[in-house]
Amino acid sequence: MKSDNKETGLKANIKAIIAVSVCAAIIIGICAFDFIRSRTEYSCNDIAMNTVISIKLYGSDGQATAESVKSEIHDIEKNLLSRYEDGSDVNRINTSDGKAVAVSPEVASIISDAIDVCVDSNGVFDITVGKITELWGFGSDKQRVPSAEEIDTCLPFVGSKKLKLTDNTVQLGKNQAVDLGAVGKGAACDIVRTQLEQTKTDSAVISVGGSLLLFGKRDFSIGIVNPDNDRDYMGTLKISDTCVSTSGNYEQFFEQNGKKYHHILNASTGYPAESRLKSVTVVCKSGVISDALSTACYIMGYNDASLALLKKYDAEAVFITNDKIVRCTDGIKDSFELSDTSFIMS
Amino acid sequence: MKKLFRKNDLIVIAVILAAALVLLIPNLSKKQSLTATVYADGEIVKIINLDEVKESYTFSPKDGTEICVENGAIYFTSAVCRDKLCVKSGKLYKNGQTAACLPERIVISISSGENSPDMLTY
Repeated sequence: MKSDNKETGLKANIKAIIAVSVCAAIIIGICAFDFIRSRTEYSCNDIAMNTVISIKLYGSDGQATAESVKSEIHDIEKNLLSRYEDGSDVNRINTSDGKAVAVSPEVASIISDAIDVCVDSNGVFDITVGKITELWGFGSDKQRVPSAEEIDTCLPFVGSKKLKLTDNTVQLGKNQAVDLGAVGKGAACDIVRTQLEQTKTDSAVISVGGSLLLFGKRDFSIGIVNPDNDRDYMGTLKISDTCVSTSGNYEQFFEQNGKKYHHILNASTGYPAESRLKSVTVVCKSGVISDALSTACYIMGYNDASLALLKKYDAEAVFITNDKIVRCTDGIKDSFELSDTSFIMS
Repeated sequence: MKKLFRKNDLIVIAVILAAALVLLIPNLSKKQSLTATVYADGEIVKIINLDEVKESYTFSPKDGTEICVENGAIYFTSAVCRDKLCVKSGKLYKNGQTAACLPERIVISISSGENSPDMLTY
């Protein structure tokens, strides 16, 4: 009898322990689910470099890291790349009146990388196109179609071979101005990557006006904007640990006398590129190079020369032609998925 | 040997597990609601669950800028800037979409966590 009571009591205790453990595990699990998610994911937006900055971070200290990333991008704009901010490296280069200007190692590196692509694209993409960009005034109150005489006056001075870059010193050629607008967003991605490497961030996707940094080993799904409706995407890339840049004729343009003029200038003609493309998306390890290549390939069009240029930099691309044909380079074909069936895969 | 759990015990455990599931399901599905986040000068000024909007309304994150919220969508309706690109952006209704008034430093972004891209390149 005594032994029966003992057994019943023991059973009741075990049951109570199991029941309490199960309840505790469930409650802890529910709380932990929210807690871990809130600790490991952090998203925010801001405006800098005259565009939208979007940040998604995975890892601890997300909020603090995002704040320092935003601050870094504001600093890049203010101190390095802004054409209009007094004292920025680019502003000092453009107001140097042909004198040699000491710049930060970052800007020297950006210019050096960009010049490589200028040379390799046979000058259709060129960062010394600044004077002609000023004439067109895209995105400003003064946007207009310049006269042929105005363009012809500036055109002979365009050419990055006339720019001298020695260590961290830049000297412009006669009547030159640099425009790093085509590579500035990618450059910011590169600088932010170095910054993230010093943090506890596991992975991140950061958009600087549509130029993306994918940080870490996590596979991200990246939507390529539909050139006919920039509120939507036409397909996705599944990629990680790289940079992505897109150049398209829909991003900045104006109309005059019924004709549309977009902002991607062919530096060898001084006029908007006409290459039968709606957009080019480039995937490449370096942000500066992916930005430069997307612009260069947009200007060059889909042909052997642009494919050779991509190959030289170990880059991949998705070309969208005016007749909505999508062409992917071999290395990225399997990562691309078309979601808008009004486009045709080639 | 007698069984450790009787029928009544199992019913109690089943009830606890069912209750836990009821608590957990909203947590799992929370991420999937369509959410708009409105930023001004880099700070969040409003987070709106667009799926739960019953009647459309407008609000001004800054003087002169007006945003309209309706079920499943959000958009700029007026702005003081010159080009009104933010108003021309139209309705945002999908994960990943953003619209911005650059001069006023106002950004609207949409997230849902549904099977849609992490970010858009443009």
